[in-house]
Amino acid sequence: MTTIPRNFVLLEELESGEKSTGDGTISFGLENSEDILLSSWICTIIGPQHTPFDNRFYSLKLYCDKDYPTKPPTVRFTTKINMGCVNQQNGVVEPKNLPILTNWNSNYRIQNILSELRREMSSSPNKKLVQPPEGANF
Amino acid sequence: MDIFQIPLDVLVVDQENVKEIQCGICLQIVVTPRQCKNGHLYCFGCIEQSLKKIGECPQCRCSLSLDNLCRSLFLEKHLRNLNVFCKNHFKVEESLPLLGTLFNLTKNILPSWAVDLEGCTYIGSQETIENHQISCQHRFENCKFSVNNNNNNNNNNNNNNNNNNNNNNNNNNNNNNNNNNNNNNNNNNNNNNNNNNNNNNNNNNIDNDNLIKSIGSMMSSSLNNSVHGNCSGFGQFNNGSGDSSNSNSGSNSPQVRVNPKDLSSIKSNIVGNQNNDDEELLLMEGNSGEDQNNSFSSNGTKPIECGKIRFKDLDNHYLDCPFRPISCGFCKIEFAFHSIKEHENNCDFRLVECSQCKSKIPKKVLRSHLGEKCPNQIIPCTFGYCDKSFERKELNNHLNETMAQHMIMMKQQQQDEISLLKKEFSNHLQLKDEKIKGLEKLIKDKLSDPKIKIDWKIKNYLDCKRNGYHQSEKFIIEGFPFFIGIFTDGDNNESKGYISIYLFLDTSDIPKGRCINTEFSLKFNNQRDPSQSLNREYKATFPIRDGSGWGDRRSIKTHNLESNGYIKDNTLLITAEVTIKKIICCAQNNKRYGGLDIKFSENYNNNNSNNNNNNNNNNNNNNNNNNNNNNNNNNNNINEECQYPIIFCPFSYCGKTFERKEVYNHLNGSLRFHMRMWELENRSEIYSLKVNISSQVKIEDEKLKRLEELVKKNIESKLTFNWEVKNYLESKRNGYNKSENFYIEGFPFYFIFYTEQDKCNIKLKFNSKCEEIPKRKAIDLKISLMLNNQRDSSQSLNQIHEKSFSILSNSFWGDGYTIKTYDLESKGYIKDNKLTITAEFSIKKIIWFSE
Amino acid sequence: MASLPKRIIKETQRLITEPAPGISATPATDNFRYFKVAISGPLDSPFEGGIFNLELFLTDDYPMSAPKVRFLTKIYHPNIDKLGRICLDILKDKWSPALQIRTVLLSIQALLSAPNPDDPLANDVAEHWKTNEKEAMARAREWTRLYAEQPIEN
Repeated sequence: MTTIPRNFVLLEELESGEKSTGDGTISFGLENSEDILLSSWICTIIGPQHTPFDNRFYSLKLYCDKDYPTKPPTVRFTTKINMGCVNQQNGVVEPKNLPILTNWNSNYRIQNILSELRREMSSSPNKKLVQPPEGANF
Repeated sequence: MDIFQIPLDVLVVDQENVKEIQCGICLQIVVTPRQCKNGHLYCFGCIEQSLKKIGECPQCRCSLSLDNLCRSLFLEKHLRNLNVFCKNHFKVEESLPLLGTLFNLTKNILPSWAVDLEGCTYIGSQETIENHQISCQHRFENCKFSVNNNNNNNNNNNNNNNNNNNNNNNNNNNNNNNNNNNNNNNNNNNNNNNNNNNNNNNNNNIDNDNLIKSIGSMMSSSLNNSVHGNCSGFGQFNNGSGDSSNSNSGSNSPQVRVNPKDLSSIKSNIVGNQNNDDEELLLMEGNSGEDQNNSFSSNGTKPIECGKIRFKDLDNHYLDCPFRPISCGFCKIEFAFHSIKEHENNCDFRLVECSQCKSKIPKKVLRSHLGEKCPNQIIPCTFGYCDKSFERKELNNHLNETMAQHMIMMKQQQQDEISLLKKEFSNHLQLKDEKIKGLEKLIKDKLSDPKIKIDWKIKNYLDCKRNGYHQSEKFIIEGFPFFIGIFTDGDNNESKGYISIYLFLDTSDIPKGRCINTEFSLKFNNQRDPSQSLNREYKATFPIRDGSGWGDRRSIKTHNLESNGYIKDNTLLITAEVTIKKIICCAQNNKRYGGLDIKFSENYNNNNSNNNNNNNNNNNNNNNNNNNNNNNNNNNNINEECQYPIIFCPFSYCGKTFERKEVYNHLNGSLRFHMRMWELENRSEIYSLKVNISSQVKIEDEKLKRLEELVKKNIESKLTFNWEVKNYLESKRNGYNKSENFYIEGFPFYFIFYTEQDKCNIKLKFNSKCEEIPKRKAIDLKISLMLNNQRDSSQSLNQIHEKSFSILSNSFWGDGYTIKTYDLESKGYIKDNKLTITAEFSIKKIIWFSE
Repeated sequence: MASLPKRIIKETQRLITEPAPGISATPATDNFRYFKVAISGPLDSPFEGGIFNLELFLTDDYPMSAPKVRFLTKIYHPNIDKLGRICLDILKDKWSPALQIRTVLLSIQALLSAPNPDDPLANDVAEHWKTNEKEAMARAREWTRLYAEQPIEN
């Protein structure tokens, strides 16, 4: 397999994000449209139904450093959220508490992280957590 | 695709026109050529793929499909007849030497091919070239030594401890490399680890010198080396593609190499990136270095191989191949040339100069040479008592010259050791003896001497008188068999007309070396008037000096005995009472029993007496010290000047006297005689020691045995009897309860528990109705009786009493009052209708009666 | 990795040994399909005097598919967007396997000489170009001076 260089991976991701594939429950794009290094991303997850996260909009920031996709990006919620894998002080998703980050594989993409986070919202431990009022930020 | 295969467009002789027959897609000379209607050429495979995407000619964009692709018979024939070089005309070069140094071996590689001036110059058509290549003199072959290198290393380099593991590791790690036979990874053991990375970059050098040179130059200018030296990565192409290059000759200069000028032009073209590239270059070099470090990190050295050699050069190569086998000049085992020096330095069979005797010795045996053979090695005298040291070759002289001295030394040492041992032994014996004596005394104090009474009835006096002598049956006291003998008319002339009576010890089967000290009385009973009975008392130690009996030679006149009422109905009654006062182990005094009257025993006795004194004076240590001092003085006398110039020969059997200074002359004059004397002396000494020790040990054993018996009989025979009255109410109804019989030394006893209205008592009864009563014994017992309180054991009732039992005497014990019945029943002595009594008996004495 | 197609080897060799004027392309050490590219701004263009860094990647499908190319240096050009993506027909539907890295890079160089605001990728720039070409070219020159006369930091 040919290794696709970081920038071309991220360009592909940008294009797929702009096409807004999937069911529309997640979206992502560059934080700054002139970010030639394609590092900082801004993402949205709409909380799954029948959970405490139901229909809430959660904003995240994602940073891909030069080692992406060999290493996972850092992920941080800007919308306040109570979740097992999220540090309650600063909203950072703790890699050790999210399997996709712990067992990162260079074939994983931003989209996979977001889907995984949304799936995590439906998990039974997180379903029981009391959520902060809507609109609060870290 | 085989990246090691030289592309056709390199092999083609007519390079001018190669472009005309290139595929427009893969840019190689076409294979199965097809063309569009405008004549644009493609390989069939290439255009087929392109047409799947878009139906036009990639070059002229005219519409095109599989159907309207055209063949060209001319071109097909042209390709078949195309003149090409033999592949051995080329060697692999790196078109990007600068980058080449950076490329990771396992990743992408950019080879190119250069004409090798030493290469094959054969030209043939594409069709026929393969036949040539099979037998081409310029083809590459593996160096037979290098190929076996792995084995060689494993087999021969065992001595090179450092390399063993490394080789193995390297073989594993470098499998890729080895398979491709690319790197001349000369496994030069002399190279340090530090050089490894450099070696790696420097694949074409086999010769150590060149290698080292190039390493040096590399160090001085990494850039130059990057350009001129082939990096290991590209080196991989060399062999696979049939590059020559492996010989180290300077004439073999690379041809299609980018020189530094080219490089700078490239760099100048990349103006914008120049700085970056430089940075990157350095960075990458660092990386590649790291990579290599990693791959070799576990290895001290790395294997370097000859790689492939041109067939025609093989013979020359074998002459100086670093892996060619060379016999070690010392051990004759074959080693690879490059490792022979190191091996020879370490070879076990290398001759080294002995530091002492300067002779040449194989390294392996140097130590044993010094330890066992070297005549100049300083060794201590082999005679243990001598403290001299000298060169080994002097040993025999020394031994011969100082034989007399050695003998004296040995004798002194022996004497010292013997007397030390004697002292130890006698101290030991004495300690033991004291212990035994203490124990004996303890036992004696606790027990009165057994007194045995024997009634001897001579039923037919007349018959006895007719024989003149009569003796009683044997009776055994403390294991000693005695009997009484009576001579009715004396036992010699002096005693004619008298009765002689003796107590005899039957010495035939008593343990030798033992004497018994007795007091005894002999009594002739007057049957008419007992008050007229004649009783005499004696003290005697058996066996006595001149016989084994003791008594009265003239005890009573025979006619007195016969007429004064001693005899009635032809019967004479004699009563003997015998008390054993002491049993003596008498080997010390009694020559008859051991014949051990020798020096040592005297010493022993002396020591005893000394020690007795010491004990009294508490001067034990001082005395010993004095003894030691005396010994030392004796020893010193021989070596040192002393005020007496005339001495005895130290070998006492010799007995000669002479002046002190003559002692060695005297000995040397008759060494054999003295040896013989000495031997005899030793022998008798050892013999007497043996005898003495065994007799002492025997005596101790006897004492111990007797003590053990005594202890067993008198102290350890403490008996316990537990009696559980299981049904107290029933025994109360009956008024008594009886225990089962139990036996003490054969005497049958039982307990009775009487319950009356107001009191209870316990009696110990001798069961006189029992048939097993020993007829000849009485027994004195100490009885401790315990009525157990089952609620509070401290309230148990305890009575202690002494009592003698025999068939003759009163045969029960008990005082008629033990406890109030009320107390017994109410204070916890009875539980669950049960009552327990524990009795302990210790035997004070067992008394024997004669029949 | 298994192997690098001979064509890529050959192209790389030629790029380095016989570079096209004003163009350099160097493969990355860890990925021979990924090239660092530098194109010098064409004479008589607003980009003259600038060195423009690009990255180029040959997909598995190359040469059946076009290489992916992107500017890393900011450039004010109607056919190049803010992220450096290039609007060039031969990189898209007009790709032909007969094209090479060299020809692609030459085309990009040519694009710098001849911007085509009618086929724009950066709409605002194209609009600027169409409405006030002089001013737009001045802006392009300014950006060239600002961004392309120093090696970018990546």
